[in-house]
Amino acid sequence: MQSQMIGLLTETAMHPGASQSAGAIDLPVQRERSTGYPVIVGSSLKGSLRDYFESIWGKGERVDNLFGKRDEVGHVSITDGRLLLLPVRSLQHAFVWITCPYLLERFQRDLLLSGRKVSWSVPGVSSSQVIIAGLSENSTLFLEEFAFTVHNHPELKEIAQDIAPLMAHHSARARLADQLAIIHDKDFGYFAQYGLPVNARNQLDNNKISQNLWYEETLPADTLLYYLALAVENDSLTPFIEQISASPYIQLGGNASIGQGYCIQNPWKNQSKEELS
Amino acid sequence: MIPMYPHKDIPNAPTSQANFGLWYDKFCNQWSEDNLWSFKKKEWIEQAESFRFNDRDIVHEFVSRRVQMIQSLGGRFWVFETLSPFVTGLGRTHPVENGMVWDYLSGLPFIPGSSIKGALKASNRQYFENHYDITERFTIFDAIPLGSVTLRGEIMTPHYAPYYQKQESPGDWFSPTPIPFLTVPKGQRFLFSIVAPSEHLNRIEEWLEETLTWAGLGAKTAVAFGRFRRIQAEEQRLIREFEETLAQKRQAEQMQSLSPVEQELLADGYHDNSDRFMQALTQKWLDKMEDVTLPEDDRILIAQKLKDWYLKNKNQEWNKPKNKKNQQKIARIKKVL
Repeated sequence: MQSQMIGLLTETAMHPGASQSAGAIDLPVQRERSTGYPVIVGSSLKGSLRDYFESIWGKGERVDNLFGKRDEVGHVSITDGRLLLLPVRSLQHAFVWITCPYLLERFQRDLLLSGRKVSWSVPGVSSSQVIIAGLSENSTLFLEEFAFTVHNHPELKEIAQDIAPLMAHHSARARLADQLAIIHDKDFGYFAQYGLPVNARNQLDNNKISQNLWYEETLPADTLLYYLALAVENDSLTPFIEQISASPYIQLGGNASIGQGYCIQNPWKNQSKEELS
Repeated sequence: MIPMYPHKDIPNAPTSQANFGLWYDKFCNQWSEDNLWSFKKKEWIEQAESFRFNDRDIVHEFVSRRVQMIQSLGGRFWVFETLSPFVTGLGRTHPVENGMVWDYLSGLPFIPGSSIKGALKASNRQYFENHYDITERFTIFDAIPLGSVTLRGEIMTPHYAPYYQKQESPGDWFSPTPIPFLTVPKGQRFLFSIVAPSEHLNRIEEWLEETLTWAGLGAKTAVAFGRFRRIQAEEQRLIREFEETLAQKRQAEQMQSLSPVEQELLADGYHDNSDRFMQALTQKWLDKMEDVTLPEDDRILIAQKLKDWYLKNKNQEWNKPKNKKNQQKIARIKKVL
């Protein structure tokens, strides 16, 4: 079996739409039923990946082999696009990347599935606390309108080192160690549910009178998600990974015509191992 | 999670690292208690005017990432500078009555792609008599600020509010109401970008430039807000910067694919500095070439590389060494080979 973890760093805001809701937001994003965290469901991610490959390779056998066709299963399986880091506005930084023990644990398991055993353990954190580097112990970090007490943790650096290979940009990786913040699952749940940017969109007629006003929710730029590409036979993933490395940009979700949903993909590679060999 | 209001650590004004959009939307601190919760708009606007965001690295990173993406997707980008105050998002709710749209991550003003798309469609209909065919599929990205943004307060003073709002007759007994609001002043640069099939890019460029120059963007275009001019020199600078980073990246990749010996040779000026390399050759490389503790492959590689260097830089010397020193060196190299 071959498996590869691939990072998705959003370059622009993304709207993986859930199409409708009964709440105040007309167009919310997709969420996991169990956690309430945003997600890109596997079927829509696979569809977008297929579209991306067809636009490069053209329709036909090569794409069908990978993604399957009506009576025939494809070689590649794609998981959900799972959330790992969510940018949240702050008064101490322009923004920090928040994550939580549950997401880190899942990330750890997924890394194991793609053949990497990590040395760090998921740090424990209680509500109203934040684990972050670069701010002094017991000082206050403001995330949106909430105050968190800062704790430093020795393993944060190692965790950042394993997350960094999901990001294609050196500049983003360089910021990670200082901007990575771990908060309690419940606190994270609040930001995942109510902390995403909501944009008002308005349609005007020729006399500048509003015809339609609606609110839509997006995942902000610089959100980090990842998915796993799995294949039963060895080597059948290789052309997939090579193509993704060669042209890493992909558009996912709605509102493509106003530039939303552009992500840069990066296959997870163990850099320190490569440097050693 | 503790709600913010009673918290002792909330600063009185945003620090230069803060996300100003967050401060503006959620940390309004200019409430006056003596006048039954009125909001001191003027003081609030003044606070905004004095804000300077100093995390330049992050703004620079977003610009170069955007340029990289647009180049990779085969689109085109333009730099436009405001010629008059610019504001968008006045309809958003805020205690000063008029909001503003903030880029979520940097907390600086930006121009949503949907606004640009709407302005292009409207100008096509109103000014250009549907000259620009808009059925083609293309992608309009948000325009992002180039560098930090300063903010400036402006005041609008509607004189006949009941006439505007309730359609009463416009009498001169109505009192004017000054309403302060925030704008992006003249001289601020934004990066616009569009991805489209290459055959349409020239037309789109013309259309965008005409729209931004003449029709304007954002709110209050009727009083000359939101006019822009194009800064081509800045566009060229961004392209040069992009090409330089690309070249550096390629070079770094090339370096990584080389063996440690080759990397060290390059570091000593093998390609670009013949004087410095001559010195390194005399002092280091000849001895290293003959160092029996090194693997034989490495020693032969060094000798080969030194021979290549002579052939390229001192061809005459290699064939007929004029002075004794060179003669000795060349003999040593030949011996290893």
